Amino acid sequence: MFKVLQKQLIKGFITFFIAVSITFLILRLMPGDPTTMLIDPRMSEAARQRLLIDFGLDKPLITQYFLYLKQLFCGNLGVSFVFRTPVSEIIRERLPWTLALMGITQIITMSIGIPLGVMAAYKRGKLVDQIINALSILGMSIFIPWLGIMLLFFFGYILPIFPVGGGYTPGLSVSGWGYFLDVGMHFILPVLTLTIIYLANYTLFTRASMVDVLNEDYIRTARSKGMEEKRVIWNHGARNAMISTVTMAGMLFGRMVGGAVLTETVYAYPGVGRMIYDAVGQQDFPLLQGSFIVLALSVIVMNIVADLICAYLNPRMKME
Amino acid sequence: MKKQKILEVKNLKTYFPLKRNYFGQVTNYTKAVDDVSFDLYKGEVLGIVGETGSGKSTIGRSLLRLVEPTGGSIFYRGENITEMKGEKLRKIRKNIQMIFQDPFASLNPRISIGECIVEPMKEHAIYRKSDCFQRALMLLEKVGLDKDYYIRYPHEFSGGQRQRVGIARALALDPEIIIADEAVSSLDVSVQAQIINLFSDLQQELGLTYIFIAHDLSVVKFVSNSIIVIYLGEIMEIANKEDLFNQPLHPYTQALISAIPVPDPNKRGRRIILKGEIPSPAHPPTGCKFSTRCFKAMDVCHEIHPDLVNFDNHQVRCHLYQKKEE
Repeated sequence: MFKVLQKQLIKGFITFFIAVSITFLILRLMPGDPTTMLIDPRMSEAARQRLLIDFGLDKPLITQYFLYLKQLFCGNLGVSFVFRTPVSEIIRERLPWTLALMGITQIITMSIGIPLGVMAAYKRGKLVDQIINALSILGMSIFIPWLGIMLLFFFGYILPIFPVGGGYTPGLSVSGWGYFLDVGMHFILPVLTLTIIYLANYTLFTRASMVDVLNEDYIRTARSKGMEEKRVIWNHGARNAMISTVTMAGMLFGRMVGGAVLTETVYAYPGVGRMIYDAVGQQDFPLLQGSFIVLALSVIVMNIVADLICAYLNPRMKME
Repeated sequence: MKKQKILEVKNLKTYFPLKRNYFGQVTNYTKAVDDVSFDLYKGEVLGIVGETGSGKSTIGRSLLRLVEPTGGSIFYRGENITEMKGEKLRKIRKNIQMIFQDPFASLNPRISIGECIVEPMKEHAIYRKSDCFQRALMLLEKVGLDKDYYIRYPHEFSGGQRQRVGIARALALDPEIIIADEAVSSLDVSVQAQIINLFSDLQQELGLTYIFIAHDLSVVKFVSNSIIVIYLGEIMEIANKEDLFNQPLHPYTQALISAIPVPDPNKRGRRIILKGEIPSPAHPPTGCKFSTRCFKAMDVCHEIHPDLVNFDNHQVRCHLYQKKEE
């Protein structure tokens, strides 16, 4: 197990380094000059030059890159052009919202999607399977902003059950339970949106691997032992099918970041996704850089966790 | 001592659907097992031999209803297995355990050897929990494996060792009948001998009844008391071992026996080489199913389907013996 962890950490570090470098390059290659955003056009040329020097934007790209790396490993993500505050502070404020959103979506999609997939595989070719398949493909094909707006329209406007946006009601001066409830109400529609979109991933994936597993000889062995069908399916079937599903869960976390940006934008949700959307519009390079890095890091961490769970689930991997 | 009949199979048929029409009705079948009847007596070893695709594995699986039989009935101690449902069927499986062909695929890779043996005991709650563990260790020893293997996983074992695990697992429930479905055919010849010896030892020790399914007549010859020769889902000949080997009646049986290698280079018997491959069970020949490859085929063989008839302590399905019975 320790060996697996070691290997995963090295792999994770390399991935992180590559992600960081690509982030740097992409932002520098983006059209537009950040100085026009950062610096007031009415400012004198001398003052402009001084600011450029202050931010290190006058140096050659390669020097900037190494400075960036050096700062990064000291934990310094730079200062936002727009807010003029350290990026790490802004992200620290925003990140919990996004992580909570994605985390809860993951839990819900897993706990609904996996049983649905198992059921579809067990009833392969039957009506239940066909309905599950059709709905899954429908869910996968929906465009997130459209779904978000539809949900807002029906559950925020026509039937005003849920608040129309934000992460909490501004100016609401309640604490404890009341605040928790308020945040929860704001949470439901974004989570619902992401769940509808990503549920199919679990369902279809679990179904596919479960169909394979159910054809394995050891399933027949289990039946011949005289085991209850329920236990054959879950103890022998699903537990084996889960190995590949968990691997996918790690990767899905990465893809969900993209969905989170769109969802948070629709719901004006105070997370990193929404912030990225705003930062692109304002060409706030340090903030973009910072959020990409932090998101990359969380995706890498989730993948390491998924791989470790896999190793735990699969005795063959433990040995290697 | 009178022989006690514990399993009676009557007209067992297992058909697999091949084609369905637009309304989902089956229009064409593969007759994997067609009208097979036999009796199994306590303490006996019944061998079932046949080529690949002859339906012998399907017979084994149908007996436990791992494959749903299309027709016929199976009586275990007077109870009809084919009509059982749910709980009752599950309970009956306790008494009839199966050992499968592929020891690499038939063990769950995620479950340790010990758990694999303990699991059925827990499932049927026939032993107390602490006893289950002790019994698993005892079984491991009985099949010639180390007690320490309890916590190991299937991928750490060789084919022969895994097959021993499969045997220990099947024995865990103290079954009355064990169906060994090609249990040794995927093993090396030397390992085959070990496993077959293990089967015989266990039989004497525990008074087991076996159905031994194999494509290798020499293996079946070693363990069985009586032998069923099957071809394209039909019984061609049933006889006890001595009768079958000393005086094979059916041309197919004769061909199979002549194909057994004799471990003596000077003693080369006349080998009967059958022409061609076994026909597809989806399109069996008309008349006698063996007629297309039979070296004694007559005109009548291609037209009329022979019945299984009694002849000299044998039951045989061949036109050569049909008239003599009358």
